[in-house]
Amino acid sequence: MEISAVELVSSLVRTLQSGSLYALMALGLTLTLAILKIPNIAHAEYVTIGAYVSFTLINYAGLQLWQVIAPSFLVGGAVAVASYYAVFKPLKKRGASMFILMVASFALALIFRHIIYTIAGIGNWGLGVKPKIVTNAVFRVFGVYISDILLMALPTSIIAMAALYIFIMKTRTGKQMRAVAEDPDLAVASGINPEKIALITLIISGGIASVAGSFWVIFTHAHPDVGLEALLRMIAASALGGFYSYPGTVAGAIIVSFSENTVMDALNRSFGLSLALKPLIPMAIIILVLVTHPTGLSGITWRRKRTLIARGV
Amino acid sequence: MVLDQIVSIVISTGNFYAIWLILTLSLNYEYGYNGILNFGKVLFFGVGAFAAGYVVANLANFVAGVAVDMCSAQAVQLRLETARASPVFAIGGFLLAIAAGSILAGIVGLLLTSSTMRIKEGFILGIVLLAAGETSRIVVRNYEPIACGYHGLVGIPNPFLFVGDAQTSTYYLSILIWAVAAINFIIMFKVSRSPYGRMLKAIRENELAAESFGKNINKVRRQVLFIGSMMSGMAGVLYAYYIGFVAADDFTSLKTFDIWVAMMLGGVGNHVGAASGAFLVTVIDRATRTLRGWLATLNIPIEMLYVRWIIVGVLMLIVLMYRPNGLIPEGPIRTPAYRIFGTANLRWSRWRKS
Amino acid sequence: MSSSGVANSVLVAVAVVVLLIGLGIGIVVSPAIMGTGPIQTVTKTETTTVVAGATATQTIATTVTQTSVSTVTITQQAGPQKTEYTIGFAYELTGAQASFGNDMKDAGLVAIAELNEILEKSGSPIRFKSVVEDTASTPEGTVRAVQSLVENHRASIIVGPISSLGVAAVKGYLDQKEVVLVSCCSTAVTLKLPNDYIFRVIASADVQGKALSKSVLADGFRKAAVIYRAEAFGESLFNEFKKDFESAGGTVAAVPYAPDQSDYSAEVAKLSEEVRKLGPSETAVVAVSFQTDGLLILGLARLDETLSNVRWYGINTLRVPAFLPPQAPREIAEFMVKVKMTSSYTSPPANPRYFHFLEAFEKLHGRKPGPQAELGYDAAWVAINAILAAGTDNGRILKDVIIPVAREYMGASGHIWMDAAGDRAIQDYTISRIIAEGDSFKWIDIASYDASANKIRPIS
Repeated sequence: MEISAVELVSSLVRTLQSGSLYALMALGLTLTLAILKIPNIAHAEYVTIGAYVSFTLINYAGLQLWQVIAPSFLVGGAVAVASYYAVFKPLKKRGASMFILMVASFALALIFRHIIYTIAGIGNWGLGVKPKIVTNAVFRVFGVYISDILLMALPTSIIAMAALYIFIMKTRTGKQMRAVAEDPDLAVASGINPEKIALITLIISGGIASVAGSFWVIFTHAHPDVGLEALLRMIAASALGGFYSYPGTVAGAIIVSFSENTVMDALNRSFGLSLALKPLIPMAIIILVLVTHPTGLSGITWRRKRTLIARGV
Repeated sequence: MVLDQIVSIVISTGNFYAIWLILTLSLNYEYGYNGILNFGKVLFFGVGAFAAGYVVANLANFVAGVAVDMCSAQAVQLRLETARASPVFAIGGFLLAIAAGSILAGIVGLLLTSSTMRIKEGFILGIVLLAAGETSRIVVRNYEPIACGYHGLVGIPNPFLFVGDAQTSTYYLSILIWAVAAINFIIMFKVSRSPYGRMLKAIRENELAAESFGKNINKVRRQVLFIGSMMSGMAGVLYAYYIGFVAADDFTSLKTFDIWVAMMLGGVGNHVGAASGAFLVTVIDRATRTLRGWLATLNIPIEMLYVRWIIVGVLMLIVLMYRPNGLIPEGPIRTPAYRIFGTANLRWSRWRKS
Repeated sequence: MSSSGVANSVLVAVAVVVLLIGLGIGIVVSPAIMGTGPIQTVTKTETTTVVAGATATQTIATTVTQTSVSTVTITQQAGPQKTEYTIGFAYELTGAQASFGNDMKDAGLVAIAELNEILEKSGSPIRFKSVVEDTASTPEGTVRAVQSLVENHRASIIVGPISSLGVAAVKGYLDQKEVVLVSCCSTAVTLKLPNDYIFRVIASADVQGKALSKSVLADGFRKAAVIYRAEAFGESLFNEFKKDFESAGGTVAAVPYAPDQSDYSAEVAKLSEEVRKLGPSETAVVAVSFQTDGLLILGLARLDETLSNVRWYGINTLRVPAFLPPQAPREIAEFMVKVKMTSSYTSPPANPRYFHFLEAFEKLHGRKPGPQAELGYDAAWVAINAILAAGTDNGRILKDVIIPVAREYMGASGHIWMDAAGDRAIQDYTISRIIAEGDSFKWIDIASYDASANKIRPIS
């Protein structure tokens, strides 16, 4: 297998580019699942909504990318909160199991997606429109271009991840969220307000997903299936993290993107595997992870391995 | 003539209904009776259909003694001509296809359950099955020898082609499809009344309690998914024969969701509910098409067919919230004791809110 | 509900039995009602006249060097003539192909409107009604749509769908029901079957592939890197392109991609690598993409240095307003100008019918038509011409009439010369290139592909 430096660097750059965006998308999924125990399939649609909100603001209100991030976050958060109050909360009150919640989120996703299809139809946006602002190559290194999207999305992901980590680990509300994640009944008994926790969780998940959508729309386009298409990658990223770990999800997103770019490239060179099979990668990851090691990366006891390595085992 | 119009509509709607009935019954068997979240139903449906195509195409080559590329136009001619000439090939091919399709689908189901045995969380199994369904579609799509890849396999002959008249052979095929659907329904009906069916429901309600009574959960899960997959495979074969064409792209995950909608709307854990759900969905499809035609003349810029899906989603949410067991809820389990002593409870249970 | 469990199941069993009996009655009674159709005799005579040479001026039927005349004699049962015919449009109005489907449907409606106007002016009592059904871009949806058209709406003839999978799915049903289907856009080579009820006004992939290959060869390239959709249409086109290009001594590098994705950075990077491997100065890039994926690929290609400095060729789906401002960012069009993007459209150059169609479409629908919409228009016209010529909508008669009728028809896409299997055999293309004109962008016609001669002729 021969691969030149240019191609290798190119695939690594692409890994970071898409990976940081997948991480932003998948974080919210893990959040809702871990804290509220809701497998929210409609999470993918928050990304699409963010994409369309940004597209509209950029094309019709003439805003710049950095200006649409806040409105996008707010709209995404609002829609997430609305889905909770309209669907998940009543179901939970009726004692719905995780299965029912998941099926309900499917129905919700269907509704959102087709509302977006209808709006796209009215706006005569055909299928797939690009906003006025496009990605541009900012500079070239080793014959590979670094786009402005990468320069924006990567730091945003890192900051979002760090901020979330600090929030969850250090602040009081974060500790409350963790308590609810561990044992909801005990948390309520200890006086934590579950409503407040739910609201915060949803605003953050929906918001981050929409911001990811804003970046995604510049990188690709605004299309009603944008979220759905990314859904399996989000699930794969979350699964790699064992579904309940945030750093695991981010690492998972990078691994998914790495597999799609570098690993796929290697398979193509060594085994002639056609690039048309690229959509198989996230699915293969899901099946492999869930069948062999369902607890994902977080299931590996890192501390024990570190001590073992330190002891020279 | 209006009568022949009605007959055609009944036949075409009836055929789709029969196939969807088998699919909904099988999903009900897996989820309704045993709580298995099968989000990959389209996989087993597809396996049956692809197996049917593969069997027929290769059988035709074998019978005619040639080795034509099964995806070419000559192969299509060959299959149709052989079916017209030889009833043995036509019907024998069908029987072989049904056997192969169902068993293969069942085996795939068995393999998947065995490998996901360790997963306790229901929704994880659901995701794995979803991923498996999509994977199979992409693989079959890109791998020609199974179902001609992107182009699909044309020309699966009606098993009654030898009769001569195209109309009559379609009628006979329809009767066959209906018969198979009816058999499946009767089997499900029997199962729901049997001790085995009661055990399935017991497991669904409380796994721990069932286990303490000595029921092997994993073994039961394997059996249920095997039977459910077999039924879906059977439906796939019928579908392949009815349409006469199979293509990988026809088996997307959206189809799984359609079957879930049918089951949830009709009634979970209840074979009559499953039957009514499938009926509702088939009828809604035909009805909204006609409705759309009328609405199109009003020149509203909103595409009604998208609105149809919004309505379906809303309906599903309403069903989940207010009637989680569907429009036709599950009745109480009929044990022999119930039949004898149950009349006193009858009036009481009718008024009780479910 | 709870008490009637037993009664419930018995009821259902009874219902099933009754339905089966009903079915049985239907079988016995139906043929008597539906009848075997009016008695008819059909005679076909074919005479062949050969016209020497082919002229270079591009007017009607110039490229045809052989004409074949068929006369069809039909004797029909006397009875009241039908005055209203229903044309059933089965197109992808939702789903992945929705924008194509809507365009084709609208093009077909233009044809129906034109014909009804002519009939009204001439005082004829005949009218054509159109009914539209959505196939949801899936094979099963196509079957449902066509069944609804044939059974609920009693359509005389079906026009559509776009997808080859859809056509293949309904072939069995239509052959049994004896209803003709005219497709504008299905290109699968596997559907080239004679004696069925499927007819196509689009040339299949082998003709298109040859045209594309010849246009690249004509500009002096012997190396091509092709990025194409990995599905029925794209793959067939690529295979035919490769066959023709390689037989002329060229080298082809392939970059297939799964359609319906948003992120094509990996595929575009691969394309760039292939171009570098072949040598950027001698290689042409060929894009076999539709609108959605085309925009995404071009959007990424413009960032790549190698790909911005080679010549690009694309199929006719790229030559549409969706790629130009205001519908797309300016940068895309600028990139297309930079790489001298060369595309085509399905019509011989300076075809007056084509320009008439463009005008009529814009007048009726208030927007410009999408790629290949002229084929949707022609498909509808062939369908209604067949019914008018036959004077009936009996499928069995239409099946025999449609080929000779199509051959007499000069459409917006040129002369519809159907071969014996009912598929179009000759399709001329006009090759265009995009240029910047001041602040806006324009496509200018630079050459034409003469299908009969298999040659590229420049337009001066």
